[in-house]
Amino acid sequence: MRAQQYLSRPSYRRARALLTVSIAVSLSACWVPPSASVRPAGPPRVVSEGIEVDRVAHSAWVESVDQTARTVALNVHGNPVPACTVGRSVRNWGEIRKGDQVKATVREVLTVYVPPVPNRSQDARVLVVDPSYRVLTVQYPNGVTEALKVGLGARLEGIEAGDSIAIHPVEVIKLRLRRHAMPVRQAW
Amino acid sequence: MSSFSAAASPRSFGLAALLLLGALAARAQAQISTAQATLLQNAIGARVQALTILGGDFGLSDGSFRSSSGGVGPAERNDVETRVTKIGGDGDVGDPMPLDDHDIGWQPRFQGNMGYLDSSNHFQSPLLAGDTTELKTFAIEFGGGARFWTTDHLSFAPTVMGLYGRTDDSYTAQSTFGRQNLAELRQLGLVDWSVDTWTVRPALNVQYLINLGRTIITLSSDPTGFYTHGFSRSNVHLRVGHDSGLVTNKIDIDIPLGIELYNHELRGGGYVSRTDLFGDLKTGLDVQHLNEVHGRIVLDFLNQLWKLQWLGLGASYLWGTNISGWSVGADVAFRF
Repeated sequence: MRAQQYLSRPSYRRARALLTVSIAVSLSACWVPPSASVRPAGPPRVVSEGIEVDRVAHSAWVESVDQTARTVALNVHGNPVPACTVGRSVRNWGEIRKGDQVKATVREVLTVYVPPVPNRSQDARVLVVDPSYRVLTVQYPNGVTEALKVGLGARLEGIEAGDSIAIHPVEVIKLRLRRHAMPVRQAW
Repeated sequence: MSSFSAAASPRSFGLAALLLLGALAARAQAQISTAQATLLQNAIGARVQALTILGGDFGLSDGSFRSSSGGVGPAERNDVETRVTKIGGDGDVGDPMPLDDHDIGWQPRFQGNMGYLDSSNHFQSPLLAGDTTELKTFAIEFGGGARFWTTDHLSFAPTVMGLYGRTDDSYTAQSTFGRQNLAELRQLGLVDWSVDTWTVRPALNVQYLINLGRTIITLSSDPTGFYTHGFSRSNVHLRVGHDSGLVTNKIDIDIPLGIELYNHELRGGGYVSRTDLFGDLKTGLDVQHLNEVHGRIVLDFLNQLWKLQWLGLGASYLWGTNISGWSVGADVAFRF
């Protein structure tokens, strides 16, 4: 009896109607998961270039160090990052050795294009673009995805899922030592 | 910092049981009849549920409420001050994942809140002048559900939460009438009582996103039900076990301003909302609906600092049936 009273109230009738509409709309759903492997539309072209990002690698391994040229080559999750200049703002540069585990912030410049475009490497592909918050989610060839915050001046119009990305590391702007490389034991 | 003020209708009987008590005392000046006691006990039950929801549910604003209202005449008006402090929120976790073979994406959703409410009623009616009653409610709620995306813009989030609350009433009798009748009022469960409550809170959030350039407009509707039962009552006459509901319809706008401060983009925006209250929530608070205009100015931290989406300042102006007010405070959003 009490349950019947509740079910006849306008608020419950409205809630029930909303639920019915929700179920009906759900049944006609057309959501598709984001995919970086979709074929980009249009002819081969450069969609946008000079997109500056500061990419933070929370755990990277130092592959090589050139103290004289002030360059370092890193490996992030199995993806080698070509040797690039270490910025003057990195004060602990002298402590860094080959094999160290570091947290690195690398300033990179991206070029987004529809292949084939000459002299462009395909380092990643676009998965999701969020122009409002300037977040470009990319997928690397090994399947790892990463969300990159792009600079305020970057032009994101026209970038779509599936577009190819060429990544050019410019400078290491922050470097924090997480763990020194294990010293090699001498055989006696 | 926030401040709310409320002005109840002089003819309203729903605001609080103890406002009725003031009116009753002014008129009866005698012992309390069974019918009157039942009326007060029902009003207390509605008030307990309303305060538990106001104090513990993340869907309603916190702040300081002040009301000047009473029973049936100006002489019976009382000052009621209510302060609500809350910490909590809601959020969808991760990116949407495909739901089996259907063209629907889904992501888990968690909601939680903890709140404390303190409501003081200073009686001003001739018989009870100087008497005060204080209601304290502690409430905690937690639950979750899932958000289902039917398109990139339209989503539905059914959720279920559990809410535990405890409400204590303490009455300070200074008036002759209060001192003489305190024992009877206690025996009837009208003053100096305590009760624990549990509430089941089913809800559905329907949301539609509109992208206009870099601006995001979010339309949402939140029908919510509250099914409350009392237990561990200090007095057998206390009856808490009623239903409430609310529906909030909101339009939110989030605008990137293209200006950088300390390497973070400034964003402006806010929302306009209307909340309709039903059941004991409406009668216990004596509020039928509540409108809110909220403005915010924040810095974008998304993908720059942990899971923080934005941090800044927000301000609201509220108005509705028997209530108006404003609030200012930190505006923080996370994206998990």
